[in-house]
Amino acid sequence: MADDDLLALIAGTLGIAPAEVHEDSDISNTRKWDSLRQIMLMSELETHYGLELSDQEMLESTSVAKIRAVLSGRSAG
Amino acid sequence: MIPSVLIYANCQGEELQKTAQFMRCMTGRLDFKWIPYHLVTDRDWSRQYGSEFMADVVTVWEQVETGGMSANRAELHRRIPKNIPIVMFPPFSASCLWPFAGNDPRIAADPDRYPWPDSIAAALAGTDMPDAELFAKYMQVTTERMPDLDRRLRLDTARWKASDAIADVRLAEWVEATFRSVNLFYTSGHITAPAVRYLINQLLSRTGILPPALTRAAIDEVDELLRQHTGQDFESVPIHPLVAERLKLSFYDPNATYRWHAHEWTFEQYILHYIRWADYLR
Repeated sequence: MADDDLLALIAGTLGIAPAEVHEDSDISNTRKWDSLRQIMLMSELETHYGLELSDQEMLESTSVAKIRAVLSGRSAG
Repeated sequence: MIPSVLIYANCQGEELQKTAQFMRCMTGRLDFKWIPYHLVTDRDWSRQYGSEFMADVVTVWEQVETGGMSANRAELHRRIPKNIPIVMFPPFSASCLWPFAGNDPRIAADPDRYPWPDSIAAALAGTDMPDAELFAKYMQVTTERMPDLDRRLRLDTARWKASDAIADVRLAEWVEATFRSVNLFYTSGHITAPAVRYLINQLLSRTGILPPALTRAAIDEVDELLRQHTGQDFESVPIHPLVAERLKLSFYDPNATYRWHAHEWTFEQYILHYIRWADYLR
């Protein structure tokens, strides 16, 4: 998935316009991103990337930067 | 000037406000007003929620959200009168009951039609099939891709407990003990009367400005006010039968119909409307 596709996936899962999601977006500064949508978002990531996240990753990957770190860690592994 | 309880919360706050403001025992003693934190804008803060709005506030019922202090919440704390008591309470929400809630880009462009997403149904949008085949396809794909619901429940429980840890009111234990036998959710974030009753009773019990006799009278009236209450049932998202089976939901009725605004739909009817993004206002 290309970088822009990740932002589009996040926007699509939050139900907001893609332009509302940026590299510095996180759970505290992004409309509709709350703990409930966090679980939905992580589930979408698992499906699209074909990976299984730990419970801790599911609950704590609460920013675009943290999500990218998790994804790059997986691809490096 | 009648003193007010300010409720700062998502749409669950509206349920609290509508219930509390009709209590006979509170008439002339205490008013209740609501700031919908998921909708409020910078303009609202300056135009609607200024010092005049805050002047009569004597207590705040503040719904917490894990994940840090948003600018919106910081604005609330900047504006409420100094030293007034705040009762913190968690949000009700459940992801395990609707495990396919996820990516549907149609919602951003048309947010009010079907605001509760289903990523499998979204992926089938545009599929040219008769209704029966399309629904069978949805059931096939969702059955194949049904996630581990024990894990989903574990994640929900972890979220509930994380919210409880920063709140004065605790919900996790009660929700965990109740959600299988009592329908607590119309959608992943809209709650039924039993959930409203539990929450408002907890809040009243922790509102220190109320004399004990008034708290008891208010709690008695909550039962009366919610007896026929249907609350946020205007959008009831049906639960997938396999989810009900795997989570052992004893309240679940496979033949039930669900309100969607002016309609009563079965699970199949709801899913077909959702896949087709069908107009339902005509």
